[in-house]
Amino acid sequence: MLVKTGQGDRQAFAMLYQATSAKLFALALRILASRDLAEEALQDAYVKIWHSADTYREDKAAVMTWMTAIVRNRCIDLLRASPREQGLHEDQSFDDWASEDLGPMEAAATQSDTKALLRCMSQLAPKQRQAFALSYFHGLAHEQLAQQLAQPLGTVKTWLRRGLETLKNCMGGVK
Amino acid sequence: MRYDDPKTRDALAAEYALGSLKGAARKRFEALSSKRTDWQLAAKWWLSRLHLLADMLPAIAPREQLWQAIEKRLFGAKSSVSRWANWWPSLALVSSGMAAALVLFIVTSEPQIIEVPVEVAAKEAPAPVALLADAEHKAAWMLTLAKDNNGQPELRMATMSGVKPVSNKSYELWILPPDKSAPISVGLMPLQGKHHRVVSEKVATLLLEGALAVTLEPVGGAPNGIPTGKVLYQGQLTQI
Repeated sequence: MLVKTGQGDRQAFAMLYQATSAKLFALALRILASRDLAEEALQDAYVKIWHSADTYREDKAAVMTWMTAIVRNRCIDLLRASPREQGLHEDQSFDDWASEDLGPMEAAATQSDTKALLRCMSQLAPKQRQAFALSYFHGLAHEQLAQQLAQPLGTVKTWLRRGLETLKNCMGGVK
Repeated sequence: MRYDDPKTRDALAAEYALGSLKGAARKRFEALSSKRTDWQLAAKWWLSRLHLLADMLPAIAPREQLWQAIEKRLFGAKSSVSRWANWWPSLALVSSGMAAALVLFIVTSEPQIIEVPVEVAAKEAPAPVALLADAEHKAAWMLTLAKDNNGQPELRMATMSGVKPVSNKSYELWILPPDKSAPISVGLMPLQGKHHRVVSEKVATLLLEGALAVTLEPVGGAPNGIPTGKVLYQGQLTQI
């Protein structure tokens, strides 16, 4: 589908948009917590996708990774540029990622690899998952994470490092 | 730092993909990966996995206007190919989530509903299947495009629980051609049970190429062959 987009096929692009926009809009909304900003980010991202598609040749899963990266990067840029960056909204504390119940995420997942990652994430401590979510959805570095989670810097660094090692071991077995 | 240590490389690649690697450390990582394939591969491995975090969020469809804004920005004012062009982008539902739901449905559905594609599959390649579903992803009909005993294309329709009962109205099926020309009627949809209808080769091709939409119309169908109601159910034939 994406290959056709590269050849200037507008119809294929429309279908690509249909197939991916709801997931990517959810991502933008999660990062930016504002419909207006999320729409702006998505608009910029799809324009970029259209212009860069001719350079992209990969399998379907890789295409989604690539598009997700474009949307996330654009959103994080917008987040940094907005005055809101000082503090996260209350509804953006990502407490749900610290929950023991990963059922809602399992229900939302559309790719089998996502379900595999979730199984691996269930091995992490709730706070580790929350740190991952804050990093991924807000691009928070170690110091900001420590502040947000009210933990010493060393603790947060260890959570991330060990958490990522756990994931690597867990998913490395799948690979 | 020992850059040849795979453990260091993996740890940095993971934090790079997660987004927690910042500033000078991030730049250093990018500079190193531009020169070293093993670093590139490590970053790629982590990116392909950590971006799945986005797939853990429930899909939220953006407003229709967003697609129009994107088209306008990319293709200018000429974006309205026809007056049907605005009708078309509202089909945000044919999503990857929907395709996954379709597969799941086929796997988990009861035998009497799945019997249609199965009996076809025994003879030849699986027939294309579509679920026509409402905005809440509740499926109202399952369509299969098969061949009848004479080899003619046949559209089979199985009614499912998602059909909202109506009185003094008819549900009508439309093909939305990929070139965004006017919708083509494929006739009325059953309100219960299973029905089938022989279609021409041309319509069969269009059914496969276009998106499918169901509108609510006056009894017997839209009087002028042009949809008058809004799209209530939609889907697309997919080869499973």
